[in-house]
Amino acid sequence: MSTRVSMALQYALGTALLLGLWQMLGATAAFGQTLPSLSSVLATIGSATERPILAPAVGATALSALAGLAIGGGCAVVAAALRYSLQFAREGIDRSAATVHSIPGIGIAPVLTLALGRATTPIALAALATFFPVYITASAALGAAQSTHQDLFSVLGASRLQRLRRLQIPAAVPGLLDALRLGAPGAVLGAVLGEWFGAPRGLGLVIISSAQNYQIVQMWAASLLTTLLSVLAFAVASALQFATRRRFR
Amino acid sequence: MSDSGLRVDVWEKGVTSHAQTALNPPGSRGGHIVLRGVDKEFSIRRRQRFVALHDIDLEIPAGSFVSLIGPSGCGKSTLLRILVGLEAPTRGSVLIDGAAPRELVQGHRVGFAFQEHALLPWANVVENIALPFHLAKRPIDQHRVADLVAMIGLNGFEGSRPKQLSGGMRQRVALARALALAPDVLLLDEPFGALDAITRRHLNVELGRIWDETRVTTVLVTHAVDEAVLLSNEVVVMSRGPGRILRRVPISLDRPRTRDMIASPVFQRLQVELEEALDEAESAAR
Amino acid sequence: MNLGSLALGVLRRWWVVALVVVLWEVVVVAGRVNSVIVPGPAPVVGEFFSQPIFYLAPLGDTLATAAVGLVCGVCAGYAMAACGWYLPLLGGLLTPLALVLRSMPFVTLVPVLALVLGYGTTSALVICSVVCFFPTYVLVSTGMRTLPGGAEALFEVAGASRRVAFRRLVIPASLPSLATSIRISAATSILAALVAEYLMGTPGLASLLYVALDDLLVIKVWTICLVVVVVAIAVFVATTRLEEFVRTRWQ
Repeated sequence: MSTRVSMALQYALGTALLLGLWQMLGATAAFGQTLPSLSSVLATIGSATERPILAPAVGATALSALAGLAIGGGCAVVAAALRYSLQFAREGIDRSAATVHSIPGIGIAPVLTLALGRATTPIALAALATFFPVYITASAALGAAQSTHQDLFSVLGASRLQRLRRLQIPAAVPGLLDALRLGAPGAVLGAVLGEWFGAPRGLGLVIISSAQNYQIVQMWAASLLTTLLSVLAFAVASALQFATRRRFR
Repeated sequence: MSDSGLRVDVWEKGVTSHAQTALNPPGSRGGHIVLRGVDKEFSIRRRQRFVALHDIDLEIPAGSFVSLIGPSGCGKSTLLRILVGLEAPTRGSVLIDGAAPRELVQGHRVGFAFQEHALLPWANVVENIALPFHLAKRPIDQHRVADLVAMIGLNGFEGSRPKQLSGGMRQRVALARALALAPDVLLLDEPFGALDAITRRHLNVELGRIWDETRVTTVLVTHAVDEAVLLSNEVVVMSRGPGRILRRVPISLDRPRTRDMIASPVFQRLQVELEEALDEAESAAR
Repeated sequence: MNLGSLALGVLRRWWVVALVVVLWEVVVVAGRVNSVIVPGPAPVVGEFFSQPIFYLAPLGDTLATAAVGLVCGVCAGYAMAACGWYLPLLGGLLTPLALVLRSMPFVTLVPVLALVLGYGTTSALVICSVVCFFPTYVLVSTGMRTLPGGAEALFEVAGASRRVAFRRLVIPASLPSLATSIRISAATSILAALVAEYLMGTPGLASLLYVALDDLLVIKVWTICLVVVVVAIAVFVATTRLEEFVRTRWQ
């Protein structure tokens, strides 16, 4: 059995076990009020009273994540292109990318809320989360063009720009889509973290406010929705990658 | 001889007729290649050098077809790469029409076919053939591209991607791409090496026909002696340890060369002579 | 290696950081940014050095929480991975669960755990331990299972008991994975500690941050963030070096 399939099965099994455990603990009130059952949380998500709170929150977070993905991904691709073209700067750019990656969202979110405002912070954090995985993958992908193709372009007298546009970027596309796939869930989670710091809307806001108001089931619902949203982001990006796979391979 | 009208390519019958459109007007060729005292050394580790080529003196007149044969490691591919500027000689001079290979490349006047076809997987047949136009910053001559597609017998496959083509078809596309800009020099690095014997033979004949029409200066690197004899004006035998020219054998068969010539005594004699030379080249290394 | 070449080496690799600091100053000065909200690097650094204990004490709390969580989580993770090796059935059940829980993000895991366990310092410790446990368990289990091919068979044929095989073969094989998981867990643990503090108000740097934000003490906010960033980078560099060291020695 291939590793990919066995991995997927493991995750499926794990999810099933987790959900089962949750339902059991919740239904038996093993932890009291603070751990409601899975079924009650699901019921809350679907209920008419909660939907006007939860639905727009999901939408707002999704939009922030998307914007962050675009910005972070874009910057990462530019950084990777710079790294490729400017050999002397390569080590510095690598190091700064890794350094940026090691900065925790919580260390930079407060500063961003002051500098950029409370509504933009989720987007900025989503961009930050997307940057590193896309940068790493894009850097590798830009070198992905095989040496024979490189020779071909040399022989045909291609300029550097032509080489980048007609060979390296198309050759890098599969890798870039892969990077997007890896960065998508991070973007969602970055957005949610950013919303904790006073954003006007979003799932992060719901989590914080329901925690403060001791709205237990609502908090669980928002957390579950966050997880689902990040999984959805991954699934959509994977589907996109799969759809374009035939074209570029 | 050639009549106007659609090209009918029927592999099994081995009968073809050409479109009248002259792809390259003969007689207007450049592509005079002169190598003088060319050495090529590679340094593998500190103070360890590998001599790939030693003292290569070779002059290839414009419009001729020369094959390079020799045992593995004799430097024939390296020589080809030097001709197109992918490698620089350690010593000696390389002049093509009196200028360095770089001029040839920047003037987009050379066509090169690799052993691994090197087609862009995300582009279809037409886009691959048209690539040289883009890189030379010239408007695409759609007429010419269509002629090339017809010439290699891939009408109907214009929109196919390399993945959907057979090995022989891919090499044909690579060949058409090499000819796209009507180059002065055509360099072929074992382009048919990875193909089966039948496809290979078909492509040999095809290449011969193309060359007859265009008379572009061609240098072919190959392992197959019969291919070399079938196509060339002259066969250069190289030996290795280090790579140098062992012998030059002129091929004085009539053109156009056909498949039935292979059985003729003249052909067979030439083939034997070359094979003996190859044996000599092989043992010279030890 | 003299001081000059050392300085040059540092500059070559960290020039971007220097660039950021310079840009920061330039943006503040030339960008007509409201310096009340966005102070330049000088006032922020100055604030830190004017009362370092004020920042270093809560930092100590945070690091202590993170460190305890790291130790507990990594030990528990390693122990469980060992149990999983001895009892494959247990491993078979636990690994999928661990895989899924490991990929649960902080923003969902921490509030939920905090809610269930109740707000308090113990909860913060538990959260950090949990956050270190899962990656360690997964990584070390994998490390224990990817033995050099044939080695396990060799031991079996030589009649070695499971215990000996474990001690001499599995443990060394698992060390690189352990180093990796320590690197990952160290950063994660600090992060988890900060997030938990921010949420629950337990003593630490992030609680300080919460208060500063609430009271809009701008320069303090910047200073705290700077401390967090510097610490995070330092931990990253240190643990990466450690991992490299272990890998070159044991692989």
